[in-house]
Amino acid sequence: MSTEQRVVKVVQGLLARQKRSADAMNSKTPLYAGGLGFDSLAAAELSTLLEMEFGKDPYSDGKVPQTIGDIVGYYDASAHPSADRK
Amino acid sequence: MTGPALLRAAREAPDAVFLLGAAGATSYADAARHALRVGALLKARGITRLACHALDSPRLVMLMIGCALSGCEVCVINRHYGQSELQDVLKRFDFTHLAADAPMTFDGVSVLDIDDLFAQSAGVSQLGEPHADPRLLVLTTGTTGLPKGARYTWANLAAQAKTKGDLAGSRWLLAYHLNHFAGLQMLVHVLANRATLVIPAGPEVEQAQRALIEHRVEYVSGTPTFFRFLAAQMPESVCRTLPLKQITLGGEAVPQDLLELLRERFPAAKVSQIFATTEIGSAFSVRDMSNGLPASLLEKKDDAGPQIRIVDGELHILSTHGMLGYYGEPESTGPVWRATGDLVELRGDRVYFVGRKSETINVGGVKVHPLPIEEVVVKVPGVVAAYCYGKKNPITGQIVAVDVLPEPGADRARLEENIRAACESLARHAQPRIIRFVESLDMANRKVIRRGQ
Repeated sequence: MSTEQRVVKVVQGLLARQKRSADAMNSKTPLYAGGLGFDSLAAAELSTLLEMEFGKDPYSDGKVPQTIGDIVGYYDASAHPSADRK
Repeated sequence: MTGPALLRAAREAPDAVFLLGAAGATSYADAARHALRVGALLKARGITRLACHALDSPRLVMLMIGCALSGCEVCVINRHYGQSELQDVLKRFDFTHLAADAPMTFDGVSVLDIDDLFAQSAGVSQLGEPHADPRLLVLTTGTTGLPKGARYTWANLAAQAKTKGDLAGSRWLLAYHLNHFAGLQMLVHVLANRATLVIPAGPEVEQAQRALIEHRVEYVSGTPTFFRFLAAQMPESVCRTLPLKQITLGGEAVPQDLLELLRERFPAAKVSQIFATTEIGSAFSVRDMSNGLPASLLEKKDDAGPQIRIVDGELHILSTHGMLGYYGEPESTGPVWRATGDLVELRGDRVYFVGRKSETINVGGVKVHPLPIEEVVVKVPGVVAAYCYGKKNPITGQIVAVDVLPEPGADRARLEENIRAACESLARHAQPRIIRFVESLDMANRKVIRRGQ
């Protein structure tokens, strides 16, 4: 499974808990207002679910991802740290 | 005091805007007129105590001040409470009248629709003299997990407000709710300064953000969680265009990185931290942008300003304009030393916060108690025992986690679903976000609840 698929799965799991449908999601989907509508509690839960899936999460690293793509980018960058230096 | 202060403002600055809500602006004169009428209606009906369950709105503010003017003891209840929590609170604090913005019924309680109250108040005759020493009840959450009621006089609440001549007409965001002590402080502060209270259209941070931008808010007081989320949601370019003059943080520990983030995003705003509790009121504020309190506060012996002391590692504060006492307990008549529940350490010239005396979980500034949550979880068939605790979280400080010991052979996926369903009866902040199945629970150090005991 690609990083993006794993991230989408985590987000879908969270939406399912909120009893919301999880269709029409792509890397550009905003996480908060105007997108998935996550508030601070939902974002807190997301950070924990990401930590459980990947062993670390962007929020604890001081990052505040705005979209699904930002989360994917965070994990891809940390998997290939050399990419940052190019 | 709040009622008379509104009437004075209505005479001296009638057209100044007091409340800015989703439905528009309310001037001081209009607010006073509505508050007087609704106060007269309450008096005519003989209502001396009134609970309110409604979203924050200009109407709710006018109703509260109407209560103060007529001498009716008002209590705003957490809008997130569901039917059963609401029923408990009404019973516990002996309320027989509830003003609400949605239809509901309770045994032994008359439910009054807020809009109807205002509509019916139009034809009511004059209130007469405002009540001399009106009261209110502010709900907190005690160490047992049940809310406690802090009894206040409006006069003591208003005495905590600082007035400055240049604040007339300034715009303040209501970032706390009106059931919360900090929201009430915001209200009396705005009124005392003849400023404008900007009330967001709803309880979400996103709505507060929209109100902040739309109404060009200058002063915001909120929890660190609120500001962290605000900074996350609001593009940097928008942050810089806001006319923010002052940011006040309170309600939970302030991480250093947040202070730096706020300084970067809102370079023109002064940042201060306030220490206040429902029982004591607003004790002091610190502007030095670092953790803890200056130890110099420990040595102050004069009557002016805050006084603190450390008793067995716990911070105590001399409360001068705090609550009269908890509901159902004797009232204090003068200044009284109160324990804060905060454990502190004196290191060098600084008093540092090290934790809470109780095991309270702080979810984004909302105090959550583990025991009531465990009680819900262990009632789910298939659960042997549960241990609830706060798990560190980068956004809300902590979130609620629960370790569950399942019965052997239980279908864990289904069990998790059932636990989540059972926990929907809890307030949103108290719902466990992490449910972990464990093979055993540490019985030596943790008291766990067992079914059948």
